[in-house]
Amino acid sequence: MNFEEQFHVTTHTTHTIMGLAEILPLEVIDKTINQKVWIILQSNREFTGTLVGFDDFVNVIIEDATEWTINDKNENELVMEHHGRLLLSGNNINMLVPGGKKDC
Amino acid sequence: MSEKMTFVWYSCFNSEQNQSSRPQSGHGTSQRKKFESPKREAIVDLSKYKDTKVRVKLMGGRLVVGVLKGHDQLMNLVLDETIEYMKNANDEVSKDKTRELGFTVIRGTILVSISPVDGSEVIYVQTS
Amino acid sequence: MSAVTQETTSASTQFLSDIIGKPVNVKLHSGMLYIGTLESIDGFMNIALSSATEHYENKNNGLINTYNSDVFLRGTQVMYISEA
Repeated sequence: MNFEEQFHVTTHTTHTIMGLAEILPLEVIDKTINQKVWIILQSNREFTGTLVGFDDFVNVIIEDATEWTINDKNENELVMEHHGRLLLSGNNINMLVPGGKKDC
Repeated sequence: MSEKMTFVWYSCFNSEQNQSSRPQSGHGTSQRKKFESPKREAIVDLSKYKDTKVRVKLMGGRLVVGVLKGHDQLMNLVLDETIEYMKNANDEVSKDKTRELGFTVIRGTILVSISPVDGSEVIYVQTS
Repeated sequence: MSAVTQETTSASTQFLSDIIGKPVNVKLHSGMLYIGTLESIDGFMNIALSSATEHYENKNNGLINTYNSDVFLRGTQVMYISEA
């Protein structure tokens, strides 16, 4: 999924306030449901998988998640692959990238 | 400023007084509710940075630069063409180690600082 | 928003009720991985497991400990919980 496409998918639900189209972060996440997502934590840990859902605290549920760590040389290291759903605590989520991670 | 504050406190005190003398007073309770939940407004209007490049620092030490596409009351951000500046082995953020994240959502809960890229300049670059 | 006041809702509550009594993986921020049967979980992500095994990062890194009785995990330290 290319990011531009992703972006245009999100625009039609944006709110127009005083003539300005507002893109709301939580709507972007909502639009990512059932699509690939890449989640970056505060630590050097990342998750990729299919977004199933999220809640008000942005605790996130991902399906068939792959868990990665980034080592000192900035290389990806596979930690483990999860089958089924995974509830990731929103407490330590830094960034969510719709469309997933390149090559993963 | 402080006079105004005093006034607010005074009227708050007053409404409490009213309420204790008239416990069933609807007016008193609505007054009280208003004081319990003040309307929180952002001190900076992020919409003026819309479609401009911003530098965002996050809790945990991440630094990202991207074009601000949207935000909400909780300071969650939507960035496009996001680039993350990676740390090197000495935990320093360096200019040359970057990666592209593209279209991202940044959580407002872990946001440390946000500033426009234009209008700031590099005054020191760590060389080693 | 502090972790202490945090309560989960909707999508997550649904998931939590689905996986009660099933085998799960729980990872803490320290990297410790617990694999066991989910006895109980609350909105703070406090977790009780029974007959759990303890590993570091993943199963392949060897067994650190086995617990025959219950294990309680503090919600603030939980990174994720997944279906095993």
